[in-house]
Amino acid sequence: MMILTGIIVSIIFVNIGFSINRETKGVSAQIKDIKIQNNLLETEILRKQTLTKRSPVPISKALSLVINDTRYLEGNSGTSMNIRIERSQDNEDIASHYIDSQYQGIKKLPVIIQVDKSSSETDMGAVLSDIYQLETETDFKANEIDKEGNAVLVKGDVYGF
Amino acid sequence: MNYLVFNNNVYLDDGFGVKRLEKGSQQRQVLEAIEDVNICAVDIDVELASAPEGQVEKKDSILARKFLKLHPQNEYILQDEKIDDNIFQVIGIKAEKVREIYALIPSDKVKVFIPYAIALRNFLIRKNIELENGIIFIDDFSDEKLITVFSGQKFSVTRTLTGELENIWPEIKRSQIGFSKKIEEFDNWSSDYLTVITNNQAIADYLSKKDHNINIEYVNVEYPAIEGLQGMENSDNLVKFLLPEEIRGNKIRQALKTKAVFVIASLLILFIGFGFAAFNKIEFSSVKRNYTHLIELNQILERKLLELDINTYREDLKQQKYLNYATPYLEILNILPLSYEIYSFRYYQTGHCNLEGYIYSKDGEPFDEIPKINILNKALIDDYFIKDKPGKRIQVEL
Repeated sequence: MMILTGIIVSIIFVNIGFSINRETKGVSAQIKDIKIQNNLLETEILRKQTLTKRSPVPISKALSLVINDTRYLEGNSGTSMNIRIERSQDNEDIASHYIDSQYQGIKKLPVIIQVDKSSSETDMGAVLSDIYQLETETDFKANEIDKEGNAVLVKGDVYGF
Repeated sequence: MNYLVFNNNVYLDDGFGVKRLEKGSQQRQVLEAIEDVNICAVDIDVELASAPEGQVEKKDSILARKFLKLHPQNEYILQDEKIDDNIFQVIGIKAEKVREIYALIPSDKVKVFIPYAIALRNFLIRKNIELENGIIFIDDFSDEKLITVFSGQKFSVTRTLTGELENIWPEIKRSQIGFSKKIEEFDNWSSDYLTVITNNQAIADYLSKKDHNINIEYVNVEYPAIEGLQGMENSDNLVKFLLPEEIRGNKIRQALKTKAVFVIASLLILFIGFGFAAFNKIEFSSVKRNYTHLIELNQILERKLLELDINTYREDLKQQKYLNYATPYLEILNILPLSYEIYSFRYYQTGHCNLEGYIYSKDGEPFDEIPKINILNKALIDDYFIKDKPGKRIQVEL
């Protein structure tokens, strides 16, 4: 009877042991993931520590800088650049279109720039150069440039907080 | 190992010779000092009785009843040994005698406690002396002679003779007749031809002169019973007289021992289970601590990266904007033969920038070969159908 009780209690303990063991394995797997994540973070931090620090800009301000720059480029190259916010209606709060960016604490606003008046291949070179200039002078980053016929669509994001 | 013969005196063989211990304080002192010991006692009673051997308790009860019927005047401690099918030799020693012996030597030191006759029988068997036809052994203890009759395994009560040598012959006859009567119910032993064995040369000489019909043998062994006791502790068929209280004590001790074994086994099993659980718990705590530490480190790194991201995202973006989209476009335009016209193109990001262009020949001119040089060195160029016109698709990784 005593041995039987011992065996039963022992089985309970062994079960508890196995249950804890399973939990330990789960946590160990999480540890593995966190270690990988921490290594990536450390590498990213090391890389970003070499970058020049600049004050962050609100998205609204960044967007207005992009718009201003397009106006300036329009005047120079004779192209027409219409900026619209992706999937937005008229009279809408643009803040509702902010989405998380790859940078922590920084949002992005997806925009589409429609470039018209490009009539020849030579013009297209100027248009593409303008897009590059727009990128370098503002916090806009193009993700896709699509040209079919004479229409050029530039899809990208404006970054800010 | 020590060997003791308990008679009126006590004979001790401690490995340095046999000593006779007189009753008194010296005897007590010597016996208290000895360790393991094999004992034989002369003062015993023996009877033959039949009992069914199938059920041990019933057999014991019948044998005890028969023995005590013949010896009603004293309290006895009994042992029995099987002689034949359902026939037992019941050996009884007075409880008083056992108490006296155990008062001198604690029972845990006593390995063997047998009748003197069994020790003597053991000696005779070792000497290859045939017992089946019956023998009478006269053991000389100098001031007394012990006479025991044997027939096979059966033996008589040992008689003690202290008188003159002349008295020995009648005593032998009495022993022979008494034993014959006692076993006649179980054995058709013939006492006509006798073998007498003795360890006293004078007795051997005396008896050989007395009766030429008896076979006299002399063994030159001073204490044959002590020799018979030697090695008995290893015998399977061991007899040990124990007092009832001793038996009860032994049973209690055995029960306690069994209980202790069960308790230890249970605790061991319990400990194994508990140990397994505890080990895993400790391991889990250690892993959890490590996990907590890593999570804390992760949070620190995340905060650091957050701070860095806020302050460096503009610079990081700037570094990613390394490509002037006009440059590859114009380079490709310069390489393409004049017979081609660009229909469409697309820049897109897949971790790095890619350019995909669709071209077709102007006015249905035949396809000129596109030189795979400079930017088009690693380009993927395949035939394509564009707006119902044959054309080509160019894919370049920038």
